[in-house]
Amino acid sequence: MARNTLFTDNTIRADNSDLGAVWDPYTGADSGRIHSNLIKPNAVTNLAGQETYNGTIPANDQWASVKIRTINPSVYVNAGVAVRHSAPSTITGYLAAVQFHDIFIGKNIAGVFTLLASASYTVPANPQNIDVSLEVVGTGLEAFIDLVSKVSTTDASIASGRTGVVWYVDTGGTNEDVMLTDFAMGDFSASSNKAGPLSSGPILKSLVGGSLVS
Amino acid sequence: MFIEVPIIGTGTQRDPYRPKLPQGVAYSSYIPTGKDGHPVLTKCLVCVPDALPVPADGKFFAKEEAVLSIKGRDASIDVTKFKVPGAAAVEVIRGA
Repeated sequence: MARNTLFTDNTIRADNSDLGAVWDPYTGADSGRIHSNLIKPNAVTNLAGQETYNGTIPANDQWASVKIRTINPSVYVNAGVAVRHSAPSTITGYLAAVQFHDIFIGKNIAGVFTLLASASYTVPANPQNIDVSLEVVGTGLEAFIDLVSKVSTTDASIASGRTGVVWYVDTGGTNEDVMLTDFAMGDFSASSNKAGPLSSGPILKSLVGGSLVS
Repeated sequence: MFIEVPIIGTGTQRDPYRPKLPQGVAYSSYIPTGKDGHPVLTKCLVCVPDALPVPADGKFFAKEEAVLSIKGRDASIDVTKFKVPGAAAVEVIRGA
């Protein structure tokens, strides 16, 4: 399905400890900086880092993508994108991120973190240049690497919100262990939306047929 | 296949709530949470590759049974897709 792009950030600008006026950090989370035309963590505090784009809020069916230039797999590090995120300061939203052995989909509700899905994935040699994206349509969540679907799941906790970037660097890591660039976000054109839950499938057809619905 | 397994974790970045599965297993789970972010149930339904042995503390479901289990727990649940590599996808929608 085609994506309708509403905003891009190639991160090409002067070094700054702030990502820029259109990006919002979160209380209790690490913030990002611009260094060498890349997004990097400001600090390594064992806190999840995230920033969201505060411009156009996309439709509830939305997507976000970011290119991971570098992710150091020698320490516990992950990096990816966020969708349907709350405005600061409550950390609530969905995320998809890559770490050493897998790509996962998770959710934060009031800062409480739940992993919803995971698929094995081996991070390539540095520089990785991995394009990670997450689509949310209705209650369906689907994560991609280089536009190839890797894992999907379903959750109904969060209906709307912002898009952004996320990362985590654990003890022993440095703020050079995650480098991101080429963020993009948007929604879907009406003609290209996912078919959604009423599309097909034997169980659905059975449900529609009435055999499982009381 | 679809199995029901316990939910483990504390909800932190390093110890997130997650299905109790062997490390490295690909999965897709359904974990309803409350407004405080904590799971509302102690177990969750998980789709895993068919080749995975059912964990000792897990419970196997056939597809239809899995659907009925979900619907029986919360009629407001709208389950649209569980899909992982090596497992069949299933699509359902609430009947209530």
